[in-house]
Amino acid sequence: MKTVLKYIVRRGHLGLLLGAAISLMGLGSCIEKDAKIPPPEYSKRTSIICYLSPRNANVSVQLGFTVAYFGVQSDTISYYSDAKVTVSDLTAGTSVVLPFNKVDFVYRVGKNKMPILNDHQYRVDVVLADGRSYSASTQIPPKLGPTDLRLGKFSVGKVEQNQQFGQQVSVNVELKTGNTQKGFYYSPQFDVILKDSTGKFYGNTMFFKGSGVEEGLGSDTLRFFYQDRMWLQGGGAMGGGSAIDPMKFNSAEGTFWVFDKGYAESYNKFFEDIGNPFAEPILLYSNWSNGAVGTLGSFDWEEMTITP
Amino acid sequence: MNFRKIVNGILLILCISLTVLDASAQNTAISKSTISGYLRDKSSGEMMGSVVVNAQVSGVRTTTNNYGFFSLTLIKGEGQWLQFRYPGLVTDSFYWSAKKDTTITVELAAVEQIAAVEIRSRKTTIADRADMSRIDIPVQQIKDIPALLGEKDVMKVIQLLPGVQKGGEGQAGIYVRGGGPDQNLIVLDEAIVYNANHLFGFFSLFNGDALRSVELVKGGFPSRYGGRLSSVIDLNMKEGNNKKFAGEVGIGLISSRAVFEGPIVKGKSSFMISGRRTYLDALAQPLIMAATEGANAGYFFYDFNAKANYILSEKDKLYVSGYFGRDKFYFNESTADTKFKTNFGWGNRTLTARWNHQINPKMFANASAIYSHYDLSINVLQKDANSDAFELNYKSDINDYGVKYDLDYRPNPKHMVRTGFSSINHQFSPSAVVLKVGSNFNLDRKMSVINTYESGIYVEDQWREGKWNFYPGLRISHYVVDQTQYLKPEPRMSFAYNLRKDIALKGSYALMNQYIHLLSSTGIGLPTDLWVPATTNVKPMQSQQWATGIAKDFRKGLSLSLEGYYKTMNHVITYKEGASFLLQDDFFDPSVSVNNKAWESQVTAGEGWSYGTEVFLQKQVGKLSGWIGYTLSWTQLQFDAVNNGVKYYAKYDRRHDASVVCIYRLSKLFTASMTWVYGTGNAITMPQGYLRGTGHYPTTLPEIWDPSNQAFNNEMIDYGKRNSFRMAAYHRMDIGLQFKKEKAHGTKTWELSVYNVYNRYNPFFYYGQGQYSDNGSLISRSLKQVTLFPFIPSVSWTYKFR
Repeated sequence: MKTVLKYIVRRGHLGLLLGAAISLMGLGSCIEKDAKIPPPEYSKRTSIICYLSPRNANVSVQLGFTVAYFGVQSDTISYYSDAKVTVSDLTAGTSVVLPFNKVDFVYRVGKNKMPILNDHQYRVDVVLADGRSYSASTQIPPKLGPTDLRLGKFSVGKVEQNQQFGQQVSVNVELKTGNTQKGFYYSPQFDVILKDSTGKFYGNTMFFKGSGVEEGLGSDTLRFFYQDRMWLQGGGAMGGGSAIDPMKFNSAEGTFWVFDKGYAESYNKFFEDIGNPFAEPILLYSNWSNGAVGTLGSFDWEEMTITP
Repeated sequence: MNFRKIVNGILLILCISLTVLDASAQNTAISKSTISGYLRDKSSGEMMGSVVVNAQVSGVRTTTNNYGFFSLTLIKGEGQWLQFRYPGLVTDSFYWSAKKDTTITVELAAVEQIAAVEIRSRKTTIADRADMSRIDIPVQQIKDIPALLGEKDVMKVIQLLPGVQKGGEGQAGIYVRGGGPDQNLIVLDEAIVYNANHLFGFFSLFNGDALRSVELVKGGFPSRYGGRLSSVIDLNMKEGNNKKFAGEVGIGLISSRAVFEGPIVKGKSSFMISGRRTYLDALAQPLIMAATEGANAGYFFYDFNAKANYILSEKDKLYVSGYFGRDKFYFNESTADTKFKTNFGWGNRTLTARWNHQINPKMFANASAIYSHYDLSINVLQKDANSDAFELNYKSDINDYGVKYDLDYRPNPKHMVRTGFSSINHQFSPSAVVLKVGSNFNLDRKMSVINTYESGIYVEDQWREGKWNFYPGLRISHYVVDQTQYLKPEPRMSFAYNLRKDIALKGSYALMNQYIHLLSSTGIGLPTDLWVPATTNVKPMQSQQWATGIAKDFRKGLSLSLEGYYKTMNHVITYKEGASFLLQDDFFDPSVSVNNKAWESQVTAGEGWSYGTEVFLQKQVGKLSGWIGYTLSWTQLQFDAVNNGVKYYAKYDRRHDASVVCIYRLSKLFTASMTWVYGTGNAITMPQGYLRGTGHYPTTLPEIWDPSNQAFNNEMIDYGKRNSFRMAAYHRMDIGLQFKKEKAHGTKTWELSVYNVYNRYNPFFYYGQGQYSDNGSLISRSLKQVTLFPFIPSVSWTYKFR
């Protein structure tokens, strides 16, 4: 290095060296500053989220409004408590007005007041105190039968301790759906659950979202495959921590749950919003009238437990 | 439609056309004779394309083709002074008696050899040409214009032309008249180049050292071109000096380069080789190792161009040329217990073999065999003492095997007919995955190759009739994928009417088809962008473009063109909202092994519209040369599955785009240059608001599926409408100074340049940054911008030996 420097100085090429240094400094700079243009302007929009399912204990509607992404932020919950929210079973010809629940900030009744039944058509009407009104409707998916989800290939490795990420297990699972119905979407979910010697649960869920979201195809046409490691979280040991001694598969301590979910298009589209930072942005979905955002969706599921 | 019948019909039309044109020439053969031959550069012996050959008495003229061939048929016995002119070369003339058919080879000397300083001649005046929307870029100008970090770049110069927009700060990708970067046909010695980017799009593959000519066509496309909607960038490599050995070496801040050329057999054959490699990895290695405690990481790219030619006879020449380039990013880290290795590479390879043959004084043919390859690979290996080894190898590639035949026929001075055909076998392997996790899993998903066949047959004529110049053409394109065939006629027409000798009204129409798509989730030219073929379900893209304009030549080499255009695009595809390269459904699914078209479910097809006006004031000769360009344009897109089906402005919609380029040759040894660019900010999608749940948390496991647990807690971003936010306007000035010094065996050049001389902080991207209270709660969020390239000086050194 010394020889190189001597050569550069002796040959009068110091200017070149300085120029190179300045340029490399310039190259290395990546500047973050306040933008010189104002952030996007924004007007708040009414937001309504409601999922109806025979599996839910309640019928709940969350009613609030969106807030600007930029500017002053508040952690107070944005909601309307003085609206009239009505749920109607259009198939049965019944309806109920939902009272506001001050604990959970939602409009809610128990399902004994408004049974949610497979194949029934429901409509929700919302009228705000200032007179603005919104409505949407949905149909509950047909009840899934016991043969609607079947297990194909299935194997698991032993639980291992990874220094960086905690416990992990290799999983190889293939699921097949049975008959599905046009107009609805289907997606299995695969849960790995383990319990340690202190009784704490560890687990993770593989959503077959994406591959699983398909509209009404016939028997055996939807196949879901997962072959990779699953990180087990829960019990406070995620991201390092000590090895969990009794957590090993190939014994009765572990359990797998498999769920097959059927749901309406509105549900599916709304959930696409929960997203992938590398993907194209998704505009906020809505099936509500008059410019409200959110969804009135419906779903049901069938479950299967596997104990290796 | 019966393809065979159509092809037969076209061949019949071609034969009849050529026969009629030839008959017309033969009818007057008694009174006419033809002079034909080649134009060469006196110093290097290279063939010269686009040289104007002007018969001064009769006023008729022609130009040499890409291989330097010309043919001019004149009245027998009517002696003529023939004049040959080309920018940078001394205009030459000689007397031809026209008593019999003659074949000659003319050599033109460079201006500098006559000790002149400025370039005094130029090619055909723009008012004299039938075509429009076509710009030749002198390679010397590419070398004179200041560049980021001193890396001379063809694509960055093309971005300075009207109607051409860059994507983002520093990006080499180009958007022509509203078309995406995949809609540009980039051909290097007739081979298609798929990914023309280095360093994630900040530099292009092409440095000026190895190039002989660069031409951009953005409308009124000649029929010989096909397969892309928006532009043609036709690059030709140098042939190599067949008289003496010469070369050039250059040292820059991030790369060094060298080009060597010389005769293999003097006067008969020559070669040219050129190479470039970056050395940022070597310079930064000690810093990286210090910062990462022993990790070995880096990035580099290299290019290698080579060309050789051999003159078999006066009428036959052979050319072989190739390009090889690769980018590689790597990160390796090892400790006593762990080992992590990853590398990410992509690259292009092209190989072209050509045979020129002069059939007779009026006919010239070229046959080519072409190979082109692009691949992307990702390799990850992770091992540690406590868990299974994880190994992932991903690869996607494209291989093209093509043949091409072109025939130039010049029956008389009024007509320059070109006809020919081309056929390419595209072999796509969109993704192949090998995944190993310990001994439990061993997934080896080899993708079967998707074979497609793209062919075209064309005829075009540059036809001069009094004050009218016509350039009609027809191309028939044919494409086969699986069991599906597409057969599409592509009519083309350009015309010019000379109001005066120096003013012409022009118009053009072109219909183009594109049988290949680029899936890009970022639009910045990342190598993960996936090239996919048109299929039975995903139709080929099609565009129609109408343009009209006026061209005026002034004295002292100044010319002005004003053009308006309107372009429609059909079957354009894009990712659906929420989809991306990383969301390929069956990425790891071994059951999907045949003709994987998982991407089809990720995309949506739509339409596009682009219209605007371009002004181009150019000065090609004199001490001061350069141009001023301005574009006023609109570009909109519409997809059923994007933005709720509502039409929206494309990201690269740019209302105003302006550029000023000045090159001032103060003396033979000193050149100063300056560029200034301005562009309306990109239209992007930004978070505008969000809705937030009220809080329902699951308390026990198993976490039974209850969407209310999820959706009621997520913050869901409201982006408003697609691309409804405009980035700040982009502008920047660069300057460059070149100092040359003659040495005993060559010329030494120092170049100092400054990128972004007034240190404008142009936004590369924006994001929202939260400000938090002491207890960690969000109290406000502000808009931040990231700037990549502020004021950046650079220096480079070049030695050109002779």
